[in-house]
Amino acid sequence: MWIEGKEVWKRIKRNHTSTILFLLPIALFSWLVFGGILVDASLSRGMKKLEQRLGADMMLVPQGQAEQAEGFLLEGARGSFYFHQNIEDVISKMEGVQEVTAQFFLKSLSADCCTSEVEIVFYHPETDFLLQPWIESQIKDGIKENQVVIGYAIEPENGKLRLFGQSYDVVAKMAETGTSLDKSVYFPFSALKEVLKTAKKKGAFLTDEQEKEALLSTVYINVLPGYDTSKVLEQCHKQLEEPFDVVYPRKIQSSMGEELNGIYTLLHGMIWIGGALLTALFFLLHMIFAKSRMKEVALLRIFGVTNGSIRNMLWTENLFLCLIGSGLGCLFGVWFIYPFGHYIGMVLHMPYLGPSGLEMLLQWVYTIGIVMAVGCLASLYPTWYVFGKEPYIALRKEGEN
Amino acid sequence: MVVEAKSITVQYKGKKYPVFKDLDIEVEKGAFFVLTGESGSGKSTLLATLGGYLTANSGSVLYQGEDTKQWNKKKWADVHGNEISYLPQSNLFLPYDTVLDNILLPYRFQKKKDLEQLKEQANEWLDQFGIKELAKYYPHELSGGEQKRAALVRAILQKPKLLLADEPTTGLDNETGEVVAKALKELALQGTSIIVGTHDACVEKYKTDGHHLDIIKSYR
Amino acid sequence: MKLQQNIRWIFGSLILLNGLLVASTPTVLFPVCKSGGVRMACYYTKQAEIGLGAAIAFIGLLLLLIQKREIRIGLSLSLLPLVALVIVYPTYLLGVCHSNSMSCHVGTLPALKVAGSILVVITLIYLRLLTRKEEEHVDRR
Repeated sequence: MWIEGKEVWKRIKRNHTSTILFLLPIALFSWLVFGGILVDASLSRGMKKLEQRLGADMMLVPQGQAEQAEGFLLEGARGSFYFHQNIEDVISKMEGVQEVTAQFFLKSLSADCCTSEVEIVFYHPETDFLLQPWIESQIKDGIKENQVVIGYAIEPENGKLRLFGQSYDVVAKMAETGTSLDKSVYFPFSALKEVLKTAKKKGAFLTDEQEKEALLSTVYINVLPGYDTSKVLEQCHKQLEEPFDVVYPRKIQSSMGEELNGIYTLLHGMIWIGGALLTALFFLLHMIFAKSRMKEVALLRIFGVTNGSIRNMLWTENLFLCLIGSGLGCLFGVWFIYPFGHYIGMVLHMPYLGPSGLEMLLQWVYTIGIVMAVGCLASLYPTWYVFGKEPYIALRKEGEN
Repeated sequence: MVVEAKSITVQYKGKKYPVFKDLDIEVEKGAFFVLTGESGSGKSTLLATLGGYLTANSGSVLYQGEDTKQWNKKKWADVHGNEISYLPQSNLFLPYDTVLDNILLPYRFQKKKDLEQLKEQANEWLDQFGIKELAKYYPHELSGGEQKRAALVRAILQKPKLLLADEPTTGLDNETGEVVAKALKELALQGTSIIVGTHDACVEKYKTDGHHLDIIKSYR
Repeated sequence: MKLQQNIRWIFGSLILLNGLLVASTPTVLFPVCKSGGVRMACYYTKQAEIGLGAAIAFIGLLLLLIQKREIRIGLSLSLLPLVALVIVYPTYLLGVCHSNSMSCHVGTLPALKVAGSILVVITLIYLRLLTRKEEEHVDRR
C-alpha cells in the first residue's frame, strides 16, 4: 500500500492538468456541503436556543412597540419602552394565567463608564421562567444585593463587573445565544432604584421615562394548559388601563421553524443536486482521461505490476484527491463562510449560533465522507473500464501490426 | 524451449483476415531470433502474443513447457515482472516518472527487489548507452533515440529469460544502433532468449560470428 | 520568461482587484451604517479602508506595469504593512460598532478580515514566486 501511495503522490504532483481538473469540482462540492452543513447546523442551534427564549405564550409591550419587541426576541436588541403601572400584579390575578413575570430594560448605556458596553435587564428572580433555563452555572440561594447574572459574551474581571463605578459580583453566566443578548447584564428588580441612581450620578444619559423610574418594559405570560389565550387577552384588555400590544413568542417560534425547514430543504437540495452533478462530472472526467489511463495501466501490467496493485493505485488516487479536495473546500468554507455566520443570520432574520472547533472538525469528517462516497461511486465503472483491454491492444497504435 | 507457439491464430476484432493463422514457432534457450517482414506483416502482434500481452484466438503458447492458458493474472504478473521482458515499438513511459524511475518500473512494486542495487546497474547501463545524465529527466524531455535506449535499459536490466524487442534499433543513428545491437547480442550470449522484430534493412546489425541467428521472413 | 510574465499579469491584477475589493467592502458590498450626528467607529474605519484599498489597488497597478523584478519585490513588501492595516483598523485601531445586530459588526468586519487574509496569502505567494531561485532542473526542450 505504501509503494502505491508514493506512486500516486508522484502522479498527482506531476499531472497538473488532471489533478486540477479533478480537485476543482471536489473542492467546490466540499465547500458547498461544508458550508451548507455549517449554516444549517448553526441556524438549528440558534433555533433551539430561541425556543427556550420564546418559552412564553404571550408577551405584552407598550402600544406601538410590537415590532421592536419581535426584533428583540430574534436579535436580542432591546428598545426602551415602558409601562407605567405594575400590570404584572394585575395579570397574575387573572383567570387562566399559569405564570407571569416582568422585565425592565435599560438600553445600551455609554461605554465609557463601564468595563464594556452592555444592555441591562432587570428581572424578578421569584417569578422568572425565561432566564432560568439559560443560566449555565446555578445560583444556589437566589440572587442577592450587589450580584448580577451576565450574558455569554461579557468578560468579568476576577468575578466582578464594574458598572457606573460600582462593582458587582458575577454569580452566573448565561449560555450563548448568538444574539446581542450575549452582551446583557441581569439584575434583580430590587436593584433597579440603586442602579438608576448610580447611573445618574455617573452622568449616564437617561430618558425622561427612565428618570421617572417607570415600572416595566415587558410582561411575559404563560396560560394554564388547555386554556384559551384569547380569554386571558380579553381580561387584559378589560382590566389594564394602559394600552398595550401583544406578541406571541411561541407563534414566532413555529413560523421560524417553518422557515428553517425551508432553508434546510433548500440547503439539502443544493447538496443533493451538487452531489449528483459532481458524480456525473467525476464520471465524465474519469472517462475523458480513461484512454491515457488505460495506456498507463497496460504499461504497468506489461511490466508485471499486479492488477491488485494497480487497482490499489487507482483507489488511492481517488482517496488522495477526495481528501485534498475536501480539505481545500472545507478550508475555504472556514475562511469564507464561517466569518459571515451572523451576517447570514441577520439577512435571513434567523438566530445564528456558530459551531465550536470540534463541531467544525466533525463537519469536515462528515463532508469527507460524503465526498468520498460520491468519488467512489463515480469511479466504479471507470476503474473497471481501464482494465478492459488486453495490454497490447490498449497500447497499440492504429496501423501497427 | 523457452517459448513455443502451437498453431496460434490472431485476428483483431472487426478485421476480415487474421494477422496470422495456425502459426508454429519454437525458441530455444539463448536463441537470437529475428523476425523480419514489411510493416503490417504481424511482427509486433506475434511478439505480443508470445509475451502474453495479447491472447491468441486459437492455439496455445507454451512458456518453458507450461501452457500459459492455465495461468492466472497473478502468475502472469510474476512472469512479466521477472522473466519476460518487452521493448515496445513505440516508446512507452509513465509521464509522471523520471527516466530512472521508469526504468525501475517493473521492480518498484516488488518488495523483494533491492532497488538500490538495481539503480546502480541501471546507471551503468545508461552510461554505456551514453544517456547517464538523463536519468533524472522526464521522458518527454528526451529525444526518440534517447527514449529507445532508456526503454532498452528497462527491458534488459534484470537479464530476463526471454526478451521481446520490437524494432529496437529503428530510429537510432547508426552508431547507437550498433551499441544497442551489441548489447542485445551480449545478452543472448549470457543465456537470454531474444526475439527481435525488425524490418529487413536492420537485419545486418544482428549478424554475429559463432552465434545462432534465426531469421524467418514469411510466416503468414 | 512566458511564465514570469503570466505570473506578473495574474498577481498584478489579483492585487489590483483585491485593493478595489477592500475599498468597496465598507462602501458597497457591506456598507457601514450611515452616520447621523455622531460619527461612530465604523465611519472612520470606512474612511481608512477606502484609502488603504486605493493604495493597494495602485500598487497592484504598478505591479502590473513594472517589469523589473527587484522593484516588484519591493512593492510587494510594501504591501504587507498596508494589508496588515486592512485587518488591524477594524479590529484594534479603529474598530466597528459592537452590537451583534449592526451590519458593520457582522458584515463589514468579517468581510474586511477575509479580504485582508486573501491579500496576505496572495502577497506571500507572490513574494515566494518572485524570490525563488531558478530551478535546478531545466527543461531540455
